[in-house]
Amino acid sequence: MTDQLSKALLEIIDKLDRRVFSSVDDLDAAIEQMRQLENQIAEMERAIVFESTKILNCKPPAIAETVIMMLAKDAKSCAANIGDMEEQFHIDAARYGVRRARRMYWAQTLRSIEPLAWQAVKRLGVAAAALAGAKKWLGL
Amino acid sequence: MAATELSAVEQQVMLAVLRLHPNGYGVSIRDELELRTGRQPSFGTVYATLERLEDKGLVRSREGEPTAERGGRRKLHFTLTATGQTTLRASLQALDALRGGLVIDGAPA
Repeated sequence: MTDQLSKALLEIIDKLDRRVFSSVDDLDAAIEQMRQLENQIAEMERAIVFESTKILNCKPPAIAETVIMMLAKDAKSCAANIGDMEEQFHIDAARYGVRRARRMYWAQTLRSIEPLAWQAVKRLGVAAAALAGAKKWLGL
Repeated sequence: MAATELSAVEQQVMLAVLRLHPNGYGVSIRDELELRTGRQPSFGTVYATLERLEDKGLVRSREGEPTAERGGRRKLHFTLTATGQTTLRASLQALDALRGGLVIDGAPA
């Protein structure tokens, strides 16, 4: 399937190289089609990476997840941030192995503390941000 | 003068969101920034910046579908608002006006 998409993409690139488009609209349509194909290939690559990682049945460090959860703005933002980090964790695990992926996850968490904490303090004030974080930590 | 009050990180994140329109989300925004600038910000930096921009009304978010590779969590897709596009353009034009005609280390700035 990826080969078919790559072939379709290469055909459009070839047409671009040979400048065989009859109008600007025709060219725009080809560029748009190329973008869509690139997105499809990227999605398929992600799916392949995920499938290979699933075999390892690995999970990112729970404590690091909790740290991010304590500093997130709201449930929606928290889920998106932790979801992104888990997605990256699976990609890293497939590339470098689970142990290194876990270290990278921790490094990512530690690097994220300062900007997220600063944003929480600006949003709530120091005392309220600390209290909100403590409540989340305790699951209240 | 609110139109030009964007930090460098805010400009970069907004440009990445614009490039990935309409499907930019945390991972792809971070990848785009790494690809274009050579520096990889933390997810915390990306989300803190997006939160600020959303509070200013310059970006908006919508939830995507939950996926297994994300532990069943939804993506948040970000797009620039009309105000965001106007503000970004003004901010970049101000920067271009400052850069215009300058030479740094023998090359145009």
